[in-house]
Amino acid sequence: MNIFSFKTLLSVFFFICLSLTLILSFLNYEIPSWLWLVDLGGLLAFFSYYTIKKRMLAYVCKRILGALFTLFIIATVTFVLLRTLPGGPFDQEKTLPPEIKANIEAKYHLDRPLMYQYGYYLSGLVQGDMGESYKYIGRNISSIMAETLPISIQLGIYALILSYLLGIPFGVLAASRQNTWADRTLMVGAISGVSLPSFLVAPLLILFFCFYLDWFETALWEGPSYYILPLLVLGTRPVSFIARLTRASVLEVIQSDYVRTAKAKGLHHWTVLYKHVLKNSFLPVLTFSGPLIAGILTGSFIVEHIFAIPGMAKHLVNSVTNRDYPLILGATLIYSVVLIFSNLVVDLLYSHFDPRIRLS
Amino acid sequence: MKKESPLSKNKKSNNSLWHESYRRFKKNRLGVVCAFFILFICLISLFPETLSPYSFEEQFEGKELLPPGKGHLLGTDNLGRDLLSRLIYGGRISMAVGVFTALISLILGVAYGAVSGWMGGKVDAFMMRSIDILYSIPSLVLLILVKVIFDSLSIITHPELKALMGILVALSLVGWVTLARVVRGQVLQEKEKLYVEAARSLGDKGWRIVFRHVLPNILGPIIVLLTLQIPSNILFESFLSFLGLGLQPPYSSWGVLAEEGWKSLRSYPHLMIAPGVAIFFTMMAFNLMGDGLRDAFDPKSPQSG
Amino acid sequence: MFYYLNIVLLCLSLSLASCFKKKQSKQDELPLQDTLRFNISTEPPTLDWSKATDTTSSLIVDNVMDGLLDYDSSKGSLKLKPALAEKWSSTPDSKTWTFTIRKDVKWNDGKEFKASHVLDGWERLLNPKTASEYAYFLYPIKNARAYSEGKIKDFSKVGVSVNEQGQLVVELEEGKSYFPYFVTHTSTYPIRKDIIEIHGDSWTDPKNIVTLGAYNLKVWEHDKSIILERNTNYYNQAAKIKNILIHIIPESGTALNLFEKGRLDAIRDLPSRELPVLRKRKEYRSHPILATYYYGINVEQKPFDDVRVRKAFNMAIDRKKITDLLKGDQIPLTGWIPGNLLGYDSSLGLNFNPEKARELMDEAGYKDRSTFPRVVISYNTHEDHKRVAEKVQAQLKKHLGIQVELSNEEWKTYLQSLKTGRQQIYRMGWVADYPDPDNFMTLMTSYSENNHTNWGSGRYDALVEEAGVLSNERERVKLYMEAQKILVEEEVPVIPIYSSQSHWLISDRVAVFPLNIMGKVSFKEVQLR
Repeated sequence: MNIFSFKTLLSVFFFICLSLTLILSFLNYEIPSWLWLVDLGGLLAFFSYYTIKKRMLAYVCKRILGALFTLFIIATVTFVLLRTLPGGPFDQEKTLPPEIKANIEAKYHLDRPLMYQYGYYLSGLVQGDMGESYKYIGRNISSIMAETLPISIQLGIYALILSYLLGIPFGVLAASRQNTWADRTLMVGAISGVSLPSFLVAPLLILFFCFYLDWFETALWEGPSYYILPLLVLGTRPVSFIARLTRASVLEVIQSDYVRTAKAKGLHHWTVLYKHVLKNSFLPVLTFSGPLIAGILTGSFIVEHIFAIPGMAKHLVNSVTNRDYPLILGATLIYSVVLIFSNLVVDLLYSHFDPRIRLS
Repeated sequence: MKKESPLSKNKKSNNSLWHESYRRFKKNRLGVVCAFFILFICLISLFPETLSPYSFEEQFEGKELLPPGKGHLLGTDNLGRDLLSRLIYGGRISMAVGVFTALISLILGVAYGAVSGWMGGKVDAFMMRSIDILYSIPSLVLLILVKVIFDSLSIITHPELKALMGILVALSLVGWVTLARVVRGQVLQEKEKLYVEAARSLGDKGWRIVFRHVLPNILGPIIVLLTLQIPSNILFESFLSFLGLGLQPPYSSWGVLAEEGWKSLRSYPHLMIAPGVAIFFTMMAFNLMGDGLRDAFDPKSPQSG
Repeated sequence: MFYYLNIVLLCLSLSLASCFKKKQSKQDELPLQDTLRFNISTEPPTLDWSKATDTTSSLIVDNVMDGLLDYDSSKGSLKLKPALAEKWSSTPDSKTWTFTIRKDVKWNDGKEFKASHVLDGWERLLNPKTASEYAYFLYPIKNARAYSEGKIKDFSKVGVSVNEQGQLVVELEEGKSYFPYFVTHTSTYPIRKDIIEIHGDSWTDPKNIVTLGAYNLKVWEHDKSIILERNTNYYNQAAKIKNILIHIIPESGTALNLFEKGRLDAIRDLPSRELPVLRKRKEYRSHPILATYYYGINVEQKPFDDVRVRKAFNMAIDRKKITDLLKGDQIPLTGWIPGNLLGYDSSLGLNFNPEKARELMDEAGYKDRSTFPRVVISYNTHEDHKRVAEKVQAQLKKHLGIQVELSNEEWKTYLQSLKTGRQQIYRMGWVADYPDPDNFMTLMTSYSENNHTNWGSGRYDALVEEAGVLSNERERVKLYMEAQKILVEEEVPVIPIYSSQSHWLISDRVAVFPLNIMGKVSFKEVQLR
């Protein structure tokens, strides 16, 4: 392989840009727009090049069409479920006089038959309009999402990276030292990571790191020293999860014949581990990334709430308690899009790492 | 290995599989300790009145917010109720939530997964597609919706059942999906195996094969999943409490207690520590036992000493 | 090989990162010595004061805008003081009110403030197209209701106009001596129609909004923070502190943490479970607010159709024990009107008397308590409501020997159940819209939408209506006392529990922080040390 080929240089450049973006965003530095462009363009180019080269265009198109159908079903189901909920968006402690309620309902078309409202909502959706929030008067759902989603994604991506960065080495270490004290400690540690609700973990960490050690900030979202605790809280579960998964799959690979052969050839322990084991045991870890991302998204509600982070997850919960129908629908759809999209990416990566898999 | 007819191998291996697994599990000391711990918790949950010093709702006036000490081993909460008693009765509810939701999701998941895997083809495709959709609806929204709808039902009047119903349904609805997927995968694998072919050639009809032969063969992984489902249900219940969608009082669970305690961590740490510790060790026990069982049931997995 | 390459590349990008500059947030530029840091618990739903209904929105609006009149917080009472109106007067029957508008007031875009801006605001508030929830605030004005219902299309028929002297003249349907209180409310503030027409819904964005209050809205980062900056052209005495930085923090425990870390100067709505300890601190302040907490009884359901049972329940509840439990300085309430308000009398109502309560139960035919029907107390899910309900449950069991059940519902579900009248005993609260007993007394009239007890008394209705139009304070008090006697001593469809308090932690940095009984926070009067 020629290190100085155009392709290699391009991917090196792209890699630098991507990690630079991550680092800058973590340090709360300004990210110039060209960097965003390069990142997005690079990702897009990578996936389109890859899909065309592997002749998976049809597959990707099929998945996207399927996703659209899924989204339609989700919108419908959620719409119907919402209307079965007791209580309406404008019910309040102080009951409104009927004529004022009528004015409000007329404004939001809530006085029309349900089918009309449903059609109205869908037709708006097709044109990319998710409607106006009932609670945050005059604000578009799209603008609410545009402001809060990036922060949730930022938080989610950090947590995801943290879970791979810590979870995989831990898992490999535990597996390669199977049944030693290191293995036991790591695994018991991993299990204890999933053994406490995060709303208990968070205040304990705050007490220890912010009040006892005085290292980090207790809340808000303004820079690295603000990011670390929420990340730790959000990351504990995925890290434990990944570590346990990695350990199991590494163990399985270690006992396979080709690894034994490699070892018999006299290759160094770590070389074998890196060259043969890691790549193959990465696959199961990758498969579970979909549910992992879903878990991170769900878990971020507590973290956003306790650390006062202006992300999207709280709208997912609060909009239901406020009966803010357009906001619930919008947040649900966005959540589903993120989930479906990341599942697609995971599947594509999967076929990349395991050429035996043919997606169709 | 001796050659045997496929059917008898099935029967025999079935028995020896259990035996072998039991033997292997017994060797895992940590797992056994955890199993006993869980047994202990279960016993307390079944007979809370034997250990609990007071009633869980009795309010001792003038004894509010006592720190742990004599008389009240774990202290009292702000209504003057004995924390230890509340912890014991709360554990009963938490365990009930964990076990029953796991059972409900088990029944749903196994039935769905078995049908989907066994039928295959278009039915399978359709059923999996529906699961995907259900999976994409944020569980949070689903939980809240189901909880609210079920709590507002006035059909159920039995107080304890009413308090539990919403949570049971909400959690089961979210939990069964994973189980269904795993069971389907297992059934797909087993379908191709020789013993199924043999059973068929002996004249067994489809569903009979599923119940008599396939399901017993995949019982191991299912049990493992079940033991792992219980702790995650207990945790999820506490999450619901955090959202304010927890149980109806006066019943409380560990989740409710932890949520109450969390709010006063700085002034009265004992209110959070007690339920926190209870949750922590029970989760650990379930997870470690689950791991042990997995190692025991999965012949491929390495012998753990 | 690739592994090392990756590490090298990572280091490279790390060193590259140092070439970039740090994101400048607007908060960093605020000098600490001239900034008050405060928190609110939710994103304000809107800053459009014709549409805002919640306390968070009002808090911001109140500081960037002024109304015709204002509460005089220096007197600590509910006295009014001039704001945009320098004088106000009424005819003796309190039916026609005249407000003389100040001439020297300018909006912060330089335009002069006129009485017509008030008119515009009121038109917009009442206009059915605006669909404002607080439109009913102006219903006392002649024809206002009809305009809001769309029955009248012509706004000039509504009883509000500007006369030749530039005064605002308001004509009411019937006399209301407390009408001036209405024009202190955010929903009645003047607006700039021209600005709203240009920008539409986004007129409340910092770059568009035009205001005239002591502060200007400088930054509004949704869900995150709001920055207010002193209005140097304010017509009244300018604010003492230049910048107000308001963080949006949903969890009270989080706010407390930030306060402990010196990141916030004042917090309110303290975590109620920490109150027993927090109240011992020197930063702790509490003050009464005009809000009541009560249980309503559905008088149509058995066994509460019997007034003796209602009285017994009322007497079996020891309110002192409840406020002791909450430890928030709440004041036990047996009457209906809360303290600090006209018509409050601590001797009103049924006092805690378990023997009498038991006698009443016996009289009502429940000598054998096991024959007493199943009774449910409902409340909306909230830790404080839960604690109160659990205490009440224990007290009823102890003093009456009756085991009641508790049922909590999520807020909106709860409201729905209230409407359908399923509940037997329900928890509710009332926060004053305007500081007049009328606001509390009309709540329990037979035709009030907020009266979920199904109880109604013509005598009570008549007394409240009569008192509402009187202007003589002493006579009004007399009528309200009589009406309250019906409500809390004779018929008892309600069990008042306590009147609420607001709790604060205010740091040593702050020298002056006026606390207001209406719950208003006026930043312009705050001073730092």
